[in-house]
Amino acid sequence: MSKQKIIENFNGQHSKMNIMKNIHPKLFIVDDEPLLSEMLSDYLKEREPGLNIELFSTGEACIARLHEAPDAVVLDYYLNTVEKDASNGIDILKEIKKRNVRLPVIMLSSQESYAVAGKTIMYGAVHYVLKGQDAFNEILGLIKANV
Amino acid sequence: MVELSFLEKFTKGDIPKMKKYISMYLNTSPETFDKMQQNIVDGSWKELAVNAHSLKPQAEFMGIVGLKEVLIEIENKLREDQTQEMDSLFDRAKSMHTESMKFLQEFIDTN
Repeated sequence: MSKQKIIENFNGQHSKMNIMKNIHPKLFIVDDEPLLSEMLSDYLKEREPGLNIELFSTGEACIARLHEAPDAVVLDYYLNTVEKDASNGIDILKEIKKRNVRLPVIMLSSQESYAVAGKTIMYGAVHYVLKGQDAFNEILGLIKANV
Repeated sequence: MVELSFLEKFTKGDIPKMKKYISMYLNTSPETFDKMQQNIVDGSWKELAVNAHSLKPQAEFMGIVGLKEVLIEIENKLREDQTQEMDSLFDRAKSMHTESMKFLQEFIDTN
């Protein structure tokens, strides 16, 4: 196979990976920071207008709506900044996985910690994304690859 | 003190959108700083770390130069149970925040 053919094949596979299988996927974003939720929602809707996005400020609110069958969940690790009694992201991740083990969950955190990242992956998160300027594009890529 | 280049790039120069995000920051961040101040008074170090942690990405998105680094320092010191410098670190963060609020409010008012 020629080098050009190999590149074409690779690009073909790569672009297939970046097309969502579902035309109108439902995405739940769970974060108690309204600024980040709003920016992420705007960013994703601009690039994938078919996305149906729901925002939640607590994991409990997200769990209560899981019967609506979201196609993916973006879940913050710290969810008790505003509501002190709210469950943290890892507990919500466990609960989501208990109810639907195949639902892709992308964990989001400002914590640069391998231990924390490893823990979330161990409990079934598809990826651990660091909150920051690059997070938006990274999450978009992960949604395309998993939905 | 405030560098809006990320927000400009993120919104592709859409001023109403920039104003929407800046307004959200202006509306929510003072309460977090108030909570942090109270955390220091109460010696609630764990809560202080959580509040400082939550402000980091917001400071980055708003382009408040140096604030994220001070918040990281607060978090790191608290992780090592070093609480003696909390007053001065918080004062530094609060002063950056106060200055940035003026700049961001001016942006809202003049655009």
